[in-house]
Amino acid sequence: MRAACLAEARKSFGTTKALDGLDLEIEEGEVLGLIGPSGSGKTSAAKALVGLLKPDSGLAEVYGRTMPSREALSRVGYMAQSDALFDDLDARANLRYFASLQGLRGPAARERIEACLELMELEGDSGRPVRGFSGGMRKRLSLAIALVHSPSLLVLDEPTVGMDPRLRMRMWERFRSLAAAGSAVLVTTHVMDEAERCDRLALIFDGRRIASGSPCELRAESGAASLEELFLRESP
Amino acid sequence: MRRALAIAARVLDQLRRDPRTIVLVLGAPLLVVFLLHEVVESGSPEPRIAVVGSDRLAEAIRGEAEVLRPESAQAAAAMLERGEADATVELDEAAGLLDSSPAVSVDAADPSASAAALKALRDGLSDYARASLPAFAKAAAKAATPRISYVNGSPDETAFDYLAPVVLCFLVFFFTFILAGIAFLRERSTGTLERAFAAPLRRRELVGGYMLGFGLVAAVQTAVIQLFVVLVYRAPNAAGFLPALAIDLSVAFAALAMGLFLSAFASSEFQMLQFIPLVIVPQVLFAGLFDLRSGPSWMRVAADFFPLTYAGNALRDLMIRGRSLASVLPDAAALLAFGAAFLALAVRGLARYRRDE
Repeated sequence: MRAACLAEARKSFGTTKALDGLDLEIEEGEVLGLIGPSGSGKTSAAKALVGLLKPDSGLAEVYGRTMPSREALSRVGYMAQSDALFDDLDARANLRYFASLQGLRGPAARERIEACLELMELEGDSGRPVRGFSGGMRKRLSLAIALVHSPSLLVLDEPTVGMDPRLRMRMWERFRSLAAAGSAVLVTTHVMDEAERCDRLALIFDGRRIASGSPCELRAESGAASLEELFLRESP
Repeated sequence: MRRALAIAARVLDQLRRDPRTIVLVLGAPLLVVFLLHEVVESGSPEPRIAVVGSDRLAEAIRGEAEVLRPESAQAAAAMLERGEADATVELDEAAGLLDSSPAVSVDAADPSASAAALKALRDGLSDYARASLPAFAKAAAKAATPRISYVNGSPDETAFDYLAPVVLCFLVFFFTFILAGIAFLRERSTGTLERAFAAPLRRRELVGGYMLGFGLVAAVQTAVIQLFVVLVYRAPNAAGFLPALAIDLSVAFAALAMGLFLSAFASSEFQMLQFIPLVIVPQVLFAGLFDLRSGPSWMRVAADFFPLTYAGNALRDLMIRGRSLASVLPDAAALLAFGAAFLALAVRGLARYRRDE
């Protein structure tokens, strides 16, 4: 079943076109990779899906509702490129705040907060102010916040930037297991070995989708030996 | 509503973990009030007056000022020149007031010192006149002495008492504006604001949460300052504690709304501080520290657009003149209207994050 889609989405900031008629679909149970060079519109696409950016024209839909819809948002977990954490609060207080914005309360909230801390291996540091966290820890906490209300659609904007290879591998295992459990996961990246781990890829350039399909299909179609080569060839 | 409470709780949680800011919010106003009290109440030094000629005039002035007795008019002029005296007066004892008039010179460099010297001179001269004039003139002088009664306070009221209400509302305004503005700005720049809008949060819930959290801070702060001013410095508080608190909370409301709205136009903490000379200093100048009645008319019109004008009026009416809260309702309404207008603008300004309402 379709979790979310963009259809003919256009958005310009002054003379720059961030989205230029972008089409995108995400199905439940898959990891969709959004790849493209810096400034190609990946972040704008992610923001349009979570209702933080309203397209000038075209459609942004999540679970059949036009975004921004507060009802749909309670099923969406979003992680921006910036960590967006309160430095003066500890990890648990950060989680508690965002959980309460999602309407979680009482024992149910506590249970989810502890589960997410554990999932991101932050239990031991949960009482420390975030100010002292390393880049990797901040990313993990940010991801824990995106997961705290058990969303069925995850929109993750460059979630693994700044992570060491081991941590990055573990994160991808998490994304895969979330998809296996039926969630839809959208990940933007420009790391090609991460693209290989996606079920499907959408290659975007200048706010338009220029290719899409599974990593194998994309390679076969283009005759490129690797996604890297395809990426370099497709982006003029 | 629950989400607004969550935001208020988080704002307070952040403050709780920042003891330095708590000390600043509660301690700095007390320090300012203390310094103001010391400066305003320290009084001015006794004027020094050089009297040439009449001994009886010198005696009469001695009660009002420090009297110097130079040998000659030239010596007196030299003292004035060197700054050893604030004024000189020359009167021929033998001729008296009926046949000659006193010649007075005043050092004009410091207006407050020369005003004090002139007042002392006038008082001394009138004492001297009363003592030396014939009986019919004494009767005339007595007839001209008015009987004075006081309304709206007592003659014991000091300059500090008069300034205290204005300073009180200024401090509440200043701290609330800066604290809320910077906190909101930080949320914008770190992305936590955007992240909050990735949750099903309404714009008015966010703004409401901020109002609640910082409103509570302002309530504690204004209570502390008010108690300090009234209990320690015995400033008049004729209408009682709660009406003044209500006005100060309206001030905090207006300051909060202005801070939230204006923080959208600042991209760094430094730019937020740049609003101080634009938004805060003019308000202080126009809010009742100085009497604007004789100023140009644009000044009085401008004062009408500053929330602190209404706050200062209302607090003086309550604390000094002892009027009831009902009688200052128009001022309170103006404050709340300012707050509501800026609040609406602040909510509108958040439309770039969320447009579904």
